[in-house]
Amino acid sequence: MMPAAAAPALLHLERVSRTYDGGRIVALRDVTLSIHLGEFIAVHGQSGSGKSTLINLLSGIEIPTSGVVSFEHLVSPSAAAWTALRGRRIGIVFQDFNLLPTLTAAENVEISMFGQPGGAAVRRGRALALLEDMGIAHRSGLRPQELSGGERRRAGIARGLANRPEILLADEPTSNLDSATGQAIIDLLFDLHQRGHGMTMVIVSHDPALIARCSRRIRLLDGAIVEDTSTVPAWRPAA
Amino acid sequence: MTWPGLLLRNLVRRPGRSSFTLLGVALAIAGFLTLTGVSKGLRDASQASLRERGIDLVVMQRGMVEFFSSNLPEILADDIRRIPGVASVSGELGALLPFGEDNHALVGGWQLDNRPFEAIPLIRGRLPVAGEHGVILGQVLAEALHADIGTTVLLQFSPFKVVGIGGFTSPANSGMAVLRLAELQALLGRPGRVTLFQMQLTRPDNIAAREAVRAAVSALRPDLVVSVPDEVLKTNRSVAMLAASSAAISVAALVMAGLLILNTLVMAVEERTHEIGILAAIGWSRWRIVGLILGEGVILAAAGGLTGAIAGHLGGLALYRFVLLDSGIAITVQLAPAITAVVCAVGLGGLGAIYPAWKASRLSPTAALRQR
Repeated sequence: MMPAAAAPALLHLERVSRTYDGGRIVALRDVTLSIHLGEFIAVHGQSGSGKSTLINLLSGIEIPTSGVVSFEHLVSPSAAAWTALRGRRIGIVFQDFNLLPTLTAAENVEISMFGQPGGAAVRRGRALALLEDMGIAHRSGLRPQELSGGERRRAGIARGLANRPEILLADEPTSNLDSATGQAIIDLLFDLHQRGHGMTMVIVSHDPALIARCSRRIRLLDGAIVEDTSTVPAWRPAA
Repeated sequence: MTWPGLLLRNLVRRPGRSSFTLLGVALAIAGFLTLTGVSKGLRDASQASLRERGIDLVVMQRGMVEFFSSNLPEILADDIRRIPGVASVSGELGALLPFGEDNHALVGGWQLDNRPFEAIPLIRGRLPVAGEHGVILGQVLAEALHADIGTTVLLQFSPFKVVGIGGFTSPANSGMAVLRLAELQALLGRPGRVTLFQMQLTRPDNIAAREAVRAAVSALRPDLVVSVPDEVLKTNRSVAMLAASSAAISVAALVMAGLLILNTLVMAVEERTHEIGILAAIGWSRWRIVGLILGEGVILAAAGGLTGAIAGHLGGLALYRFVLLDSGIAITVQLAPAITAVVCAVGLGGLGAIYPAWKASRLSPTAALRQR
């Protein structure tokens, strides 16, 4: 059986830097990183260490100032190619929910499926099934402002999973939640990973409990990777 | 959730902004339709009036800015009558005169002994006889004046006795009063003068014969214009100016509708920058975002256009009922301008949405997500 680390990288960053304000602010410096299928990675570090920037670069929402980001064989994909990847292969869970206020929880999940195969009924069915998985099917008709923080997070995760992505990027999924809800979200993410049969997860977190359970932990400091450890073998397909 | 369903939800769940824009578009379209309805109604009323009288050709003074300024000698009828192909000629003096203190109506001085007017469709009463100061009122005018046979009405502040009620079918004729020509000439101090001549031809369906008569009449005097009924108002400058003003105001109204949609959608894009960033971040392509904004613009415009078409129709009816009833002008309900207006509204909605849609599609997801 081939170790996960030796498999072709799903995402690869080669000497990637991201600066702002004409180079005066350095968010990420010279980062080289490979992410493989099935890994469950925690990205942690102090505030301002570059965690969110890393997630944005991995999803193509941001473009590096220098260096190369590759998705499988796509080297430095164009903005349109990144958009297509986010539509089909990369799921995103935002730190501050980012649900559309005029749509219900179910509609917020459905909206990410526009442009994918299947009509309205298929989208509706999948959205409700995902919300059922998240335990909030009974809240599917409510708008974000009518949901609790935990419910919004679950709706956001359901939206991230809507197109059956190969990689889910979650930016601080337990922030702004009470400890019990945060723990429930962590359990949910690990459960999804177990059931996801190879879905890669990259979670930005400050939560020690969550970081400790991840198979790989990447610590950032001042925009650079200072620690990258694997303690548990990543999931890999059966030989 | 379907794509149209998503567009509708976005509009319906922002009821204030959507409804005010819809109302603005509707008002512009209603104004457009009412103005074109009045303009068309004026032309139609004139044509229907002449057709109802069985007129084949109308002779007027050329180049008059205002319809009633045409001033021709009554004796010219004798010269016209001698032209081969002319079956009958009748002079008419026309004026817009005060009825009582508050009303105005079109008044025709007709040669009641001549052929075109032998068969005035009287529903009550009779034709006036010479010297009696009698008047025939069109049915609509009689209703507006609450007058009937035997009633005395003040026409140009002189008393006239209603002797007949005409059951005309055309709005212009229904809203007018008919006197004997000599009595109107005396009332206006224009003895021996007429506004126009109405002609019947021996072979009205023969175009060559009709054109020959037109040429012969035109040759009588250099200041004559000879028209078939459908052309009468086209050659009139005041009507042309009214039509041009209506067209200009109508186009301005439509452009305002487009700008309103543009403004609304630009504001919507500004207001929804964060949302658009979310859509881009979850994989919506630029074209899908453009489609969202364009779709919302087109739906707003179409809804406004349809509402405006209905409001324009109802407004036209109200204008006719409360303002134009005794003027002889009907608001012509036209399907083609209504369809044109709605199509224009949709087109302008689309045009108005292009800039905000383009603006939305250019937003960087990270920059958009940072905005609240």
